[in-house]
Amino acid sequence: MKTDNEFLMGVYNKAHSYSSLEEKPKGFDQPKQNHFKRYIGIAAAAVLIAVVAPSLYFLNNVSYEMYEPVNTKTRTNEPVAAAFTAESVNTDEFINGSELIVTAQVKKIDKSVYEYSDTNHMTTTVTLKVSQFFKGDGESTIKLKVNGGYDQKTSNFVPYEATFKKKEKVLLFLVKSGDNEYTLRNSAYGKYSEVNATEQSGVYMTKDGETITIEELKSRISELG
Amino acid sequence: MENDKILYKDFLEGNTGAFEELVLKHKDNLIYFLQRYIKDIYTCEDIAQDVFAYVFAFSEKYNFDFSFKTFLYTLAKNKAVDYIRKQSRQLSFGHVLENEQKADEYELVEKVIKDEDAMLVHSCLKKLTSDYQAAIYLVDIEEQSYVDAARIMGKSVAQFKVLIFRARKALKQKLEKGGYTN
Repeated sequence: MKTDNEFLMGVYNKAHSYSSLEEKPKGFDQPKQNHFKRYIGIAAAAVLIAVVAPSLYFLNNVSYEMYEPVNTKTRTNEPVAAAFTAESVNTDEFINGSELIVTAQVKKIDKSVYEYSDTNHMTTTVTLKVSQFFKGDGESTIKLKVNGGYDQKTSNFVPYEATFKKKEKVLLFLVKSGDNEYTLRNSAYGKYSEVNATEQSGVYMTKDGETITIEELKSRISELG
Repeated sequence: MENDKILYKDFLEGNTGAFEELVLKHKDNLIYFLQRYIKDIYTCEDIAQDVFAYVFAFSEKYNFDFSFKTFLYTLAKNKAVDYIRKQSRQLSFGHVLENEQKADEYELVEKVIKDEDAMLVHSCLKKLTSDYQAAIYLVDIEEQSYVDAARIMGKSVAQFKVLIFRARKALKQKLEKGGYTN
């Protein structure tokens, strides 16, 4: 590894390359051809920014801001969960904190809508057909409102909550938010996707690899009463 | 005011010695943190240099409302993610290190992890996923608050709490497997 001095020299060299990108042309009394060349360069840069940068932005955006950065991993219809309350962190607490626990299949994903006219807050409603109720009761078809969405008209993208695909089979820990309408308990962590289904013991997994089987879930719910 | 912020203020006033003090104070831990995402230690060293170079070139970007460490580690994580995206593949944990690289990695670990018990934890930590490693490193080794650690990792506090819980659980399982009991 580098010595301290070598490391520092490397830092300064790299900082210099950042700075040279920022250098502006000096003086106003340059020959005409230099002005012409400069304007060509500026025009070309403007075209590049107007045409290429927006697509690069959506493909490779990384934010250096101190708040939670925009997730631009994919721009798809698949929602991603935003986290809200976090009192529940283990299975028992998830179970206790959920009003409805079901396995279901995604039937429909609606177009995203703006919750309020003057903000960027979008939500996307996912319709699911319930296959099994483990806690709570409800209709056989439920609506799940997830935060985030994509506005095709303006190409505005807000990070989704938890990813969903049509026909995907999921295990959900839900909190009621309206008439036959629910939200995810603990955001992305309230959604498990089916990994391996057998009649008795399907295995489900969250996006960070946490797994649970239906047998375990039933057993925990039974013990918690 | 934190010592880091005092040094940073001096740096903003033109004292490059203060900047260098910040660099030398944080570089080893930063490289260690980057290794949670990118296994190659020399690449981590390069990325750490990029991070400090960015801080030097764009010194006005730092917001004094947050700790300097949080700012630094957030930049580092973002640059690590950028790097990983650009690469077609990431070195897997099981890759064979050259002897020199192994020696450098061991030297870095010795600088960062001073406690013997923590050394044992470190060897099990390496077996976890990158996010789990980073979460435990930030909170349990760097002693960052959940709020700051969540910011660095680009998650909300709620998401981070779930993550650290699961990370600790996974680490505990690894430690118990290795015969270590508390």
